[in-house]
Amino acid sequence: MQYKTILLHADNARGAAARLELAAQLAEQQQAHLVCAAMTGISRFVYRGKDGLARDVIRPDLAERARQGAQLTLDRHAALAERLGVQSCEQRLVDDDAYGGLTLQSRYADLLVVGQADRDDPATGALLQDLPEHVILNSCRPVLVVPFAGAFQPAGKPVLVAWDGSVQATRAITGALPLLVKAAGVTVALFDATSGADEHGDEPGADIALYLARHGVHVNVVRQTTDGDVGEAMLALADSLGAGLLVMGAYGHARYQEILLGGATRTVLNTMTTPVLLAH
Amino acid sequence: MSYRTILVHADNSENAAERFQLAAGLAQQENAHLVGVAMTGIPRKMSSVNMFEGSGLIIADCVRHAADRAHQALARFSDVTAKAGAPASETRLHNDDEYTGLCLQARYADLVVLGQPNPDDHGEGGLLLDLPAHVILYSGRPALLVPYAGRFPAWGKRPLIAWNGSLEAVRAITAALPLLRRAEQVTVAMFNAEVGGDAHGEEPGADIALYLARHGVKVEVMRSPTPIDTGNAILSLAATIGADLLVMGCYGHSRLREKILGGATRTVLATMTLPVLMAH
Repeated sequence: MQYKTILLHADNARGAAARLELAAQLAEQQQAHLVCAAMTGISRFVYRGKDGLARDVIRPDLAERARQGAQLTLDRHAALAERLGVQSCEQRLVDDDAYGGLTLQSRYADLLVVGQADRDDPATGALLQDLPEHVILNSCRPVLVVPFAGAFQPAGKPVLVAWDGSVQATRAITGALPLLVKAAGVTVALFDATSGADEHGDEPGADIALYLARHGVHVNVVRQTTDGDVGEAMLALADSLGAGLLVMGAYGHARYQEILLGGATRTVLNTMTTPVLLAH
Repeated sequence: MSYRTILVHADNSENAAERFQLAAGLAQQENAHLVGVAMTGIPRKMSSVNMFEGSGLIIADCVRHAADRAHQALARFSDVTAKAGAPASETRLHNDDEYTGLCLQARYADLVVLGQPNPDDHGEGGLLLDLPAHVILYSGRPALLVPYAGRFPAWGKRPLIAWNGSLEAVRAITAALPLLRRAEQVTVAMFNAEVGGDAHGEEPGADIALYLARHGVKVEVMRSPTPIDTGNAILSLAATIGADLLVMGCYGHSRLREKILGGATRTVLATMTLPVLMAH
């Protein structure tokens, strides 16, 4: 199995070039078509209105400036993509905001690539801080979130899969299969898992290891106990393994719970040092 | 995407043998490992503790009877799948209720094969009318449903995809990819698509057709606006074009913790005349 269409969020954030480089590497590895999508930032509902008529709510010159900005972003991406030698690449200008635009287009891609939110980025400022979270929860695709600082070459590096038996983790693993089959070693880690508990059965990790083996992915299973901060434990383990990618289910607990009490997903999204693939 | 592990619910309902036959054929085509699982219907908690002291032999008798019925179903499964030449197959008996048991086992499979319940069946086939919906909504896995009546020796050559641009439909399509790639001709049909409507864009169906084409699927797009309810329109079109597999999203509306099925989903689950692959 391979990804055939990869959708990359193209914007002006500091990490945009590194994100494109990573997406290009994946497109090559998977022989996939890469779509660079830049959004004007103006919601499609503003253009359309409920009765289908165009609404002149935004001054035409401002709307035009927004389009031009998005086009500039795409031109930069096109130039870099060509330098990187991406085989099949498309620049797409979308009349929508990032939330709606990416979610809508996710239907027609196998994988989404977005940047980690960066509060200090001069280009985006404090806007769109919850974009990765929104896309993960509302699109039906696995989402690869790329840290806002640093450059990444996951090829040839091991992958860490965080497994807790949840539906979300199941979706993440299935969504990550095209990457797992090409990885240089896969470790499945269970954090604070108890034998015999509902999700795990008698030998935690054994069932998922078998499921993956049948897909041609041979894994090491590792169990760890944590002091409660599972997110940090995942990142620490990824670091010590030299992993080029972390795969995990997102928001296994109710979101209000995570917002109030903190949670692995929020920790990872805030402090990731390696690309992370999530699904909900 | 390929099916490497296929889970089949083994019970004693009237058309179970047809379900086993269909699953075996698919496993052979995909070179997948086939797992037949039967549940005693007794929750794990009851069987793990010695609760029968003093309660007499009556309860122990019931438990034994339930286990016997499960063994019977598995024996039939082994028999049918061996005759059908399925490559690698195993049976599992679980002391668990069907709802929890199947959802748990489904984590470790790529596809779950279930029988359509039959309200007029006075035996096992009429007992758990909401089992398929539960498994689809809560397991995170796609399910292939086999009608409670009829034989389907040749299926999957002419799939019909009921497309409405929703996330559920996308999940169903993605889950069906191994089947769609093998098909002779796939039809994507939209029943009430508005041009420019959120999910559809300017040319309804064009985007999903392109996505599928990149995955090597031969696809044609049809628009079939309908004044009657969508569920019946879908089944009607399937009959008209001679479709032998239906692929559609399974829609559930949240009502606090309980999911209630959407109308089209309910109609199709109740009156399907061909195998249906659903995902949520």
